[in-house]
Amino acid sequence: MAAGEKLPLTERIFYAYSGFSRWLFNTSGQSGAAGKRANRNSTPWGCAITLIRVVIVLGVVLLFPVFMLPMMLARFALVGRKGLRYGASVAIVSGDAARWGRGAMPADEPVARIRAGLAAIATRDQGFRVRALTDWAVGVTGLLCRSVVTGDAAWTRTFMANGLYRAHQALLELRDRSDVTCEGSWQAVDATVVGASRSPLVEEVRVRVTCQGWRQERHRPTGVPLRGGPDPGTWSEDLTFARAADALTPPVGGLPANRCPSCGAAIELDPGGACRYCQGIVTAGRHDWVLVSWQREPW
Amino acid sequence: MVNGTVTGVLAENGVGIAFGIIEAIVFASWALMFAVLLGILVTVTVMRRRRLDRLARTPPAPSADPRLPALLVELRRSDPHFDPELLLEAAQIACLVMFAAQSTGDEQVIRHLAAPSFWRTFFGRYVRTQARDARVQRAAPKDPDRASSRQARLPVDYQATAPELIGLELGPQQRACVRVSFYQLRAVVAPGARAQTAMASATSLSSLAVSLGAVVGERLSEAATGPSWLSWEGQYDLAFIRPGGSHTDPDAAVASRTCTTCGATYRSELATTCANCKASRPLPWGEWRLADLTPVE
Repeated sequence: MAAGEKLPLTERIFYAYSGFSRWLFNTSGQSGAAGKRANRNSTPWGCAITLIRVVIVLGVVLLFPVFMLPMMLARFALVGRKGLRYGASVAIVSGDAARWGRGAMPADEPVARIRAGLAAIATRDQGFRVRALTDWAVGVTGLLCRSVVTGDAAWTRTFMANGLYRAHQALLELRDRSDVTCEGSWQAVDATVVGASRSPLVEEVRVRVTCQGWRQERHRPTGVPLRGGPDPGTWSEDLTFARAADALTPPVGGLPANRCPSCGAAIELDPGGACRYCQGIVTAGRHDWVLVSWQREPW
Repeated sequence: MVNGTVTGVLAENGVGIAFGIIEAIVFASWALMFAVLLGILVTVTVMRRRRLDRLARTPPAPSADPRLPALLVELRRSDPHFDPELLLEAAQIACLVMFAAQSTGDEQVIRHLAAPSFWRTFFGRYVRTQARDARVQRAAPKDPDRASSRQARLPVDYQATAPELIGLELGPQQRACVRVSFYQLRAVVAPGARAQTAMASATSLSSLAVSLGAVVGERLSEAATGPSWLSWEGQYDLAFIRPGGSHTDPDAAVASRTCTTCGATYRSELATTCANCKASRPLPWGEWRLADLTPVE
């Protein structure tokens, strides 16, 4: 807690109470080394002290609501009925349903619709190659793996749209601050287009990659495994690439070919997503394909 | 001697009365605490059930304001560099940093993004309280032998998707409303985590009672520390404000990545100042600040 942070009176009363009770429990032979030492002092004087402590502990337990209630009522007054209504407006799921219930891959679009979408894109942009995008998706999967395992978002700077990149970086930092680690090694072994569309504003292509390898998340301080494990497995991920509807494939291939779509130089971006040579912002999706969504199967 | 006896009786009576008062206070406070807790749990559970029933019957809430295209044209006339994409990014990041504040207790980033008026809204107060709780929990001394020290609620996944600009108001203060869907997944590492998480998502009084009983049972039996899961899913409408007549700086997106004072690169997305020269970090969306947040019911 930040030094000097001012808490409301009701909270201070409760924290003082909980601090005292924690100290009391820690020194009353409930657990730990202190408790073991206290158990060795089985003299009559030691027994009397233990008895007094037990009485105090019982008193503290009995008085719990006296200290808890003011804070509880103050908080309830703060959130009121609106808080209860808002709390009920969010869908909360627990247990295995929470872990496995969301993120199932959407069904593939009908082949005819995918072909029509790709044809609409290719008709306008003669340089568009589906193979270039699927090959890029394979390379992107390797970089996503490195980014998640190392906790460094910089691996994804050259292909993620600005908004997705910011969110990805913030989530990695948040996980790191909470001691959630990810180990693993995986790669894409296959990539197929499962969706393609063109609207007056944007063109989108969804590529499903089949990944092979292993991955495991842990809580560092307790060592508790969260998701995954050391055994190798196979799973799918959906990568959605998008660009402005008037963007054209650059002559040298653009981002899928690791080239700046503006000046054609080998891709090297600053943290803002601008080319180091021509200063063009290349990850806004205005000039070339960028990754706008990354969806993993629940695991 | 008579005096001594009377004093003794009075003292005994006084002590008895004092104990009686304490007993009454303790009893009343236990009763009131259970009544309040049960009342809250029952109300939320019943509301949640009603919401699910209502969702099954009614169509989703309407989205964009039909006047939006005309208002966008008008805004672009006065602010040619205005880019709605930046507002959509702002909404995604705002949702995520609120989640961060509640998980880690770090309010700095959301303070950087929010207008002062945000802290007077329901969600402002809620985020502040949750963040404070997270800080207190993190600051508490850890004893590996104690079950309470093996508890953690870990942010594992967060997605803010499909942001959509649904409203715009122009005037002395400009106001933009962005609707965004969010999903968050937390791992709960604690003894009896499964029952704890089940209680949080109970939609009927019977499931609530069963999970409450399981929590107490698992706590008493010092059940093994294992992970369980909690996910939240829903939609928020985020209102952003800025003074009327503001102009978007086309270089702001780059300035939010590289310090304009010393040239150092911001390595952290959650940094609000330059680590090198301590200069304040500009936001890519300029003067827009989060003013309110409402769940879409």
